Amino acid sequence: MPPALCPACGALQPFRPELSLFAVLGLPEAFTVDVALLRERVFALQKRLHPDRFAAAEPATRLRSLEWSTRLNEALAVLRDPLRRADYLLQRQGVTAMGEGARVADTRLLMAQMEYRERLEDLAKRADPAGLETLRGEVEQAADAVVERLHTLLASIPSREPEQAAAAVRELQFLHKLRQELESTEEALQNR
Amino acid sequence: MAYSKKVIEHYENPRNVGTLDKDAGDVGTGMVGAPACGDVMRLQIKVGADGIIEDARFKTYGCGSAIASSSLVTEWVKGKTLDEAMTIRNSQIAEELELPPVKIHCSVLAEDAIKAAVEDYRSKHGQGAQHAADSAAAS
Repeated sequence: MPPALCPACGALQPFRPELSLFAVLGLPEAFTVDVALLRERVFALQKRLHPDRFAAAEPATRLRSLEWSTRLNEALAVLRDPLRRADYLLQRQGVTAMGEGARVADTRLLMAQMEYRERLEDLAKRADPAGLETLRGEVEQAADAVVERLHTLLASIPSREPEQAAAAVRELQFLHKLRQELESTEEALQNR
Repeated sequence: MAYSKKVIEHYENPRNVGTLDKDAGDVGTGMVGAPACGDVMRLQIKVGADGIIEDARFKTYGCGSAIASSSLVTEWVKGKTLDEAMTIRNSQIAEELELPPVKIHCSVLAEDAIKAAVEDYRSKHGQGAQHAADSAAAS
């Protein structure tokens, strides 16, 4: 039984902010997550502890319900996304992978990024939707390859190779940004 | 967020955009990136036999502040020695461009890029000063 509800009577328990996003769902802490199961857990729990169910309850219970419910939404948002999930797992072991100040000096990675950006700029200029589609496929493939690497680097939690895992998270973040730009470029072309 | 006039000026008329041959002996290349904003910056310097930076080029994918910061740095480093170039601080860039606090990291990126370019040049020559002396002796 997830910790939000009493195992015996199912009553709403006091909120426990110290629990990890995995623990609130009763899931093991791991990079490999069954997203369908994750979603199912969150929705099943939300049904039982959502503030709508406690509209008539006393204020302390309403607050409890709101706290658990908010935490569940956060768990779903973070754990369904490989980038945020990996970053969260690293944070749990004291490693900051992402963040405003993070900088990367890996030449191989940066050259690849520069090349993607140059192609994107060129394709946007030539208004070439087929080319953009090809580029998007390549970027998605590259992102999938990084996620594969993360499965290895985060095979055990805490990770035994946290620095390499953090580097992979930053690479994934670059690819994620790139995909956003690709999508907005594609949209802009469609709306012309 | 409103950009300062100086940022807009550099953004609309960036100085020294382009590429130098990264494999050339007298060129140093620095690349840095900020994953949070997806910014990628490449800054290159061409160093004369006297150890003075005679040319600089940049290519930056990023926001206006990142482009302005790298553009400004290419202007500043021309005519400087490598040691002088290494003394450029992000705070000077931020001050010159009147960057707001949320854009300070763009100037940090430019400082990192010029340092990386100098280091790349030096790594090609063991030491920059040594190279300059050798070249002077050879000519």
